[in-house]
Amino acid sequence: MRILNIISRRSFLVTLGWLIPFGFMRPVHALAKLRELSRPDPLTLKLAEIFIHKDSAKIVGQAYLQSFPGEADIHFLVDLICPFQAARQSEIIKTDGMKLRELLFLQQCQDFEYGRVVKVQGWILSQTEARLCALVALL
Amino acid sequence: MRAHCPKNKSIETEVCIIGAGAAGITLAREFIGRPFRVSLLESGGFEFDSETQSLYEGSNVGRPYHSLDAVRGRFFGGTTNYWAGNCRPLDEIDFEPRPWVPYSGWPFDRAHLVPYYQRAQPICQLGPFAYNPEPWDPTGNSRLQFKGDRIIHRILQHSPPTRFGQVYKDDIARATNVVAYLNANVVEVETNETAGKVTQLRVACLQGSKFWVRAKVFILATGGIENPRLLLLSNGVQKTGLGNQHDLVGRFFMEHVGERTAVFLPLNPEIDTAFHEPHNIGKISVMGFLSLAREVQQREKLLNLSVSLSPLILSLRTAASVYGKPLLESARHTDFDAFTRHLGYMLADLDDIAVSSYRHLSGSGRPLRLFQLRCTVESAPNPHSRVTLAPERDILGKNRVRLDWRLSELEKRSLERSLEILATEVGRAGLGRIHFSLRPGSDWTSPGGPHHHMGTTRMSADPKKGVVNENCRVHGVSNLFVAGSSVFPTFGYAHPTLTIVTLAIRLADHVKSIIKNQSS
Repeated sequence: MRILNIISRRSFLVTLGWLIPFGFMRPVHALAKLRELSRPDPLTLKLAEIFIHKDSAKIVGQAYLQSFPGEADIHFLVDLICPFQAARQSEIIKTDGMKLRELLFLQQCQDFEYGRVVKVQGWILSQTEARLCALVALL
Repeated sequence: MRAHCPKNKSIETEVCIIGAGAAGITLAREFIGRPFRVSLLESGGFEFDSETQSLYEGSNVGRPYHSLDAVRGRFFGGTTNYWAGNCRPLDEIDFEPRPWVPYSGWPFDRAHLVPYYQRAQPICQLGPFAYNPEPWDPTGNSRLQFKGDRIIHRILQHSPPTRFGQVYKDDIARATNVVAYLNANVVEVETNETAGKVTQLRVACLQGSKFWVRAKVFILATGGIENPRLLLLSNGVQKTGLGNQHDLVGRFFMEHVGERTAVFLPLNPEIDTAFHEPHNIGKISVMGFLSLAREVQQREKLLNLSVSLSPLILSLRTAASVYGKPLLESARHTDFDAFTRHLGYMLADLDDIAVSSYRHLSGSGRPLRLFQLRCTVESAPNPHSRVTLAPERDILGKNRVRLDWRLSELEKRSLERSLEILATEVGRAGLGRIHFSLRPGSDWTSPGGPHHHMGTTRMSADPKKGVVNENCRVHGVSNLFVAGSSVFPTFGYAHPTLTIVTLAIRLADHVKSIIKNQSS
């Protein structure tokens, strides 16, 4: 009430007009930015594309995320699956599906060799394959 | 053969064998043609008889177990009248003292037994003494191909199975120095006043007659539960039971732990597993299985185990109802069948070899190719796992037995860790994936076991650690011997019959030399 007493209704509206672009519009900007961020990046899409049976991968991924809810984040998962530098990741994006499958298969075998395994509904799986499925489940 | 008991007579002989099962018949055959008399006493006749069988009845107060009268055959041939015929010698490590397995180790090594194993092979109607996979599968193409050496391949041979009572009945009947007495139940082993020597056996028949047997050497061969029972019942002089001066008779009861809780999903549905299935090489039936290398057992401090593959060509849900409760529970709780199918398709997408094979399965409704993993784990010697006398009496007035079978955490950990290692190696080699799920808590095993009763008159050179010495003679008793799996101190995963026969041959040689020395 006191402010309204000091400034007129007109000046309030003028002030509001100035504030909108800088302040009140910020949430709208953030939403757009968020939408952009949550849109799967090319690497994520590349990894998910490896699955022909996406529904199957999704079901396995959902089971994995039930056991490991802390990994329910696409970017976090991508970093865990491909802990490479940006340059290396961009190489992967350009790799054809066959080559990528070979790389991932090698990584799966290494997971088993170094004990990087998880138990999902009683099945002993490599972390890589389980996380790839989780990625599909989140898309 | 004498089907009817002598009445109130005393029989004189040089060697008396109690029990006509695998051990007793093997011993008797080894003595055929020797210059001494042998009496073979069998509780039953030539056929199953329910009244005689009831003498096996007893109570279970430990882990859930089968009815005791349903796990042995009490007639000529003993339990070989029922056995499946799986044969394999014990591994080297089974004879060794292992620091992580209390009370483990035999008084001799495996090499010492090999000549006797070789002699046991034809008795069990087996092929040559060859239990490594190479002679049976020279190319190795039909074996699962692992990387590294943590998982090893083994084989077992299948006996027809030899029904000892039928196959060797005529040998015994024709022998001029061997007399078999049927329907003859030994109810007490009588000794001199110091319990240092057996003087005679008191034998009773269900029809009411009784007789006595005097001999120079007595051999107890009545099985892993009846051997300690008879020693405990023979308490006329040694009040705690014959040979029980250190309270060891009946302790260390052991049985294999058999579990079907694991499933193998191959990445390649067309994988060749012929080696792992029963198959014939010439006239010999063999089957491959998997085990952990001894270095892995040592490093991880695990008990020995075997894992065999059993095809599951049905829908898993159906198979679960056929093959075992744990799998069924798994299926019920997790919709195992559907999840496994999704897993198979997902994995195929990541594997070029499997992808084309799985593609034609996709959407076809055809069942996945799966294998059940049948695990046999040895159980660790445990003095609290034991056979004692119960207050209840059988129809001959003798105390029945009470079985208190116990396992330790070591068996559970060994199974769980071994399956983890196997699952890791299967994944590492790109062979597939493994599922397993042990039930939580102490009730983690399936009830019962494969009817292998061992350890209750265990062998040790030290009288404070074993009931019999390295020659299977009861400590402190000069002329009483024990044959059969009750003398096994440890036993690995192998089925016991071949080793029972092997030890019986070895004991026969020893007894022959005793009689010979006494004669000269």
